[in-house]
Amino acid sequence: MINRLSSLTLSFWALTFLAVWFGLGAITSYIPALRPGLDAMNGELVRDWIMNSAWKTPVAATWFLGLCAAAGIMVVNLICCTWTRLIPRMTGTRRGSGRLLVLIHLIMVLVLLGHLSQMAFGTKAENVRLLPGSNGQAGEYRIELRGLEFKDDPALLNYPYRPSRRILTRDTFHPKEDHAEVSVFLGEEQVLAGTIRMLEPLVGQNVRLTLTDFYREGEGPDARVGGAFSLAANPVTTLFLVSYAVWIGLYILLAAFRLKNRNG
Amino acid sequence: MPFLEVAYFAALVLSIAAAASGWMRLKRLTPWLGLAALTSIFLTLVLLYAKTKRPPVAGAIEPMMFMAFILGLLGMLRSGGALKTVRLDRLVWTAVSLLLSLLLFADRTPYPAWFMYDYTWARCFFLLRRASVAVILFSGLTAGGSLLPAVDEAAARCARKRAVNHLVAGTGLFLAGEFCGFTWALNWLGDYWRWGRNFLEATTVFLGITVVLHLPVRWSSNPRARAWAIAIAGCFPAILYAAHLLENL
Repeated sequence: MINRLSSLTLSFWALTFLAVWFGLGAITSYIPALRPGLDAMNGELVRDWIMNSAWKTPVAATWFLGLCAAAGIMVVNLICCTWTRLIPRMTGTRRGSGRLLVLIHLIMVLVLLGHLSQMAFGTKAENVRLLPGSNGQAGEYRIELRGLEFKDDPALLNYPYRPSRRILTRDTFHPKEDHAEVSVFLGEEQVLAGTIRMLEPLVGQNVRLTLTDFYREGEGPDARVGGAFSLAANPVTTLFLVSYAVWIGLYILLAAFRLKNRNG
Repeated sequence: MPFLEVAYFAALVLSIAAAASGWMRLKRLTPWLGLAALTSIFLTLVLLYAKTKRPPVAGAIEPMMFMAFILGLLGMLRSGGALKTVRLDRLVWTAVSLLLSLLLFADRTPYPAWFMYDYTWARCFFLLRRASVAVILFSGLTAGGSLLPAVDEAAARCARKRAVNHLVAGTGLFLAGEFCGFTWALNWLGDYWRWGRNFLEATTVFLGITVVLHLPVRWSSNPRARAWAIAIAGCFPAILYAAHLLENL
């Protein structure tokens, strides 16, 4: 049994299925009627999406379950193959690239667990839109926007994503100068407070608050500018990103080894 | 005609000439034409930088020129030695010509200076992604070269080995780009991953390559089957990229 679970043939078919499945997901995202299903997965933690609203978009829910099944088989195969074939090879080989290959597979297990943790643990809320002086709820956290300074022209705001890329240029929009003053509370306890800018999230106590966009409410001189926020709380995000970086570093090292040693 | 257009058309014509010379077996002329094409591509990139004040990250012409440059450079530097009889240069310059020809149908004016293009993680993501597509395409062409008639077995074996090595190297660059993209998304949108077309397509590309690196023994022991698999996986990201370019016309 363990031989079958650790076989290269199973790896091949699991990976092929996953590649095709992700390809189908990508195709789904081109079909306007099906796209909202995928978009809904971004708005909250995947765990919450599964429990609350997944079956409102059955195509996305079915696709995701297929993905989980195939990924589960691949992880079992990866663990079995690493245990029965790769680790014994590590002790038997003197070749650096052989050892690197084993390490890459070992750390891949960590990376996949990290992906799982990002979908299953903690809190996530997106697009919490606040005007200065207002509060908003993000899961069990409360975000308070104490103040906001937007020095650019508010007429630049509220465009859809693609046109906004041509409008928010380095000459018209200055993300270093536009900023907001925020606090984040868990119950009555303040967990984060400070100045936040786009691309400069506030991070602390495993909570990450991101200012994702500015928006305009009203027109002309009465227009008010608010901020759209995203909040995520997960204790293992940093660990996951570090393991991911190590995995990629080893992969690049393996590539360098191969180019150098094997008639590259 | 602005300098940029002149440089682009010079690069296109010289690339086509290098490809034609390669297919006509003009062994002495081809490297010189290749060098001239590469110089024109480089000049276009310099002119683009002078105009946009950023690395070639956005729109149609900047990334396509960058990919053509990396591919042409690899063709110049990595086609010799044991691979001489494969005459990889003809394939490389044909691919460069095709890439540059696509720009005939695209908007060749540089893309506006979206503020995000000044962000280091975004720049690294775009540059590494495009460089990886070029290296992976080179790997696919090398594998494809080993399948051509009149290639002796020793050269074909070397080409297959080199194709795998470049496939691994290209994937390393691709993953490094993904890491930069993850960091960019994390700092911009608050999450490193999005359930959306770009992320799903990137994962499809990575998994497609991983499939080729995990071929069952009964297929991987067949050199031609292995070469076909690498050729298809190597060309896929560039075809996908070209499809996106045409989609945005």
